[in-house]
Amino acid sequence: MNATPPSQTAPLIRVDLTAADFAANWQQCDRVANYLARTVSSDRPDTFLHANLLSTALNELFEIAFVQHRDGGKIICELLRSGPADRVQLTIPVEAAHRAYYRKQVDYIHSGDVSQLYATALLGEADPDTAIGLLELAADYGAVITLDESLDDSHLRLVVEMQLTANAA
Amino acid sequence: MSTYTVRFEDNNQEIIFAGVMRPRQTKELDDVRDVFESALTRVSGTLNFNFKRLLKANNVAFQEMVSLFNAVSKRRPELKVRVIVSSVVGWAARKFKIVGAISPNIQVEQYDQTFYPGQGVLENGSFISILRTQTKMTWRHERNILPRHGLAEGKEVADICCGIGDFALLLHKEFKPKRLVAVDHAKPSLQYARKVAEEFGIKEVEYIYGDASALLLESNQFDFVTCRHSLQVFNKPELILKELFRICKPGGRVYISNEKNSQCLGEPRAASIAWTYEEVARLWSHFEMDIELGPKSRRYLLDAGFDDIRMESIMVTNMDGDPKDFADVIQAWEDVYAGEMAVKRGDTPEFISRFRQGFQDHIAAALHPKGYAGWPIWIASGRKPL
Repeated sequence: MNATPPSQTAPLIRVDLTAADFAANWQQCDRVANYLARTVSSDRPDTFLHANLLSTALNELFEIAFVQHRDGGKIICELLRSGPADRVQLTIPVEAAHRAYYRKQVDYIHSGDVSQLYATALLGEADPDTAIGLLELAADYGAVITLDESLDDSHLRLVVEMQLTANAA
Repeated sequence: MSTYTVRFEDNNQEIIFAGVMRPRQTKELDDVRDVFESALTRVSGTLNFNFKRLLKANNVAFQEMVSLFNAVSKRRPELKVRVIVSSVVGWAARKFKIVGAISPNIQVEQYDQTFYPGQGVLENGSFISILRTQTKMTWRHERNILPRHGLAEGKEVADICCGIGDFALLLHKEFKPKRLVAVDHAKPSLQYARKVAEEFGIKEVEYIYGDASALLLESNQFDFVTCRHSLQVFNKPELILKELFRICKPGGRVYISNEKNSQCLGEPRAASIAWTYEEVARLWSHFEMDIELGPKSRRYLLDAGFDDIRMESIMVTNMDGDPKDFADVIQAWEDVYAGEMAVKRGDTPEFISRFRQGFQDHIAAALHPKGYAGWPIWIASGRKPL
């Protein structure tokens, strides 16, 4: 599935993380998510609420990438804005198995009522997967989640667009 | 080092979480399970899970919480579970809405709405005009008082319970703080504050939605923390003071102002005015608010750990500026106290009629060419020890 091209979306910040360094410490997910969220939320009307929600969303994405990436290369996170909506573009170095994993997760999100899918994943008997974070973003944050596979064979881009606060502009 | 704390409090049958909980695996949360298992053997009736100070959590932690709720449902089906979240901590309000589906015994409660019993009236947008006039009247005094309590140019300042934000704007203009954060819990007030700041082209004031008793601001950040006319509105002012103390830098000062409404006065018709304001104090008390708090400020500040207490009182009167402003404020008080709060308390029409008369007499005193009308306020500040 290809992501919709960003319309009038202004880039705010980009971080390039060496995959090996990033994956050496789980706390990096929390740290980078907090740093990015605080930085781009500073001019939102409700700084703390926006940063709290954005950090939560970014952390879930980083935790998935922490587990699902190939050795070598860089994980690149870009934050863009279009009015009240925030757009996260996470470029991840992958092998075929990782690519299949992301395709499967994103396809699953679009396979039915997302609130129901999330409730089943969370409250059902099976052990939830790390990717439950994606389901939650779609269910609780109304996030539109797509996969951009127009890059080279060894990278893909996870694109998440959401409006975190009602009056974010 | 753990980034979160979890503890059980017997008196409230409450497991309290605080900090940031983003583990990689659920096995990192053994201490949570230990506290939970211990709590489960000690509670009856209702077990509370308090997440209002858990600033962040990932889905690994959330799944563990869900497994605990499931465990209660299976092992203690007679037990009710109350999950307490705060609307200020955005992730929790969204995440926990699903847990009610686990069992009808699990109830999610937004803590902010139950904590402030009288706030429904005071957070109503209709109160905005009265607040604006009040600030205009008190600012005449406070602009001179603030330096005596330690405020100078270039400080890092927080205005907690900033209301409609007009005091913060005046602080910004007069004292040019290095940083100014203004926090309030009423969204209509904050919307108004942001709109006014935008109209004035002021971008330096950070208006933040927040809960004064559980601020998301970091500790030891501000040189000067103000909290005006607000401790009297909360039923647990000591919790607010604890937070004001926490965010204040060592050596910095916390500045509070509060009233003692029963001391409002006027001439002529002094007796009627005095009776009504005695009743105002009782009415506020019914809604668990203490409009008589002003002179108690010294004790509250000392109990909260402050030293070098400075305290003074001011009498805002009809002779400060336009007496019509004073009259407008009293009219707004009558509308809210007699028109809404007394009705809500279930007072009789006879009582409300007499109650209203005292406000009208106060207005008459304010507008009388030879009259005098007063509204006393106590200002106090304390230093956070070094």
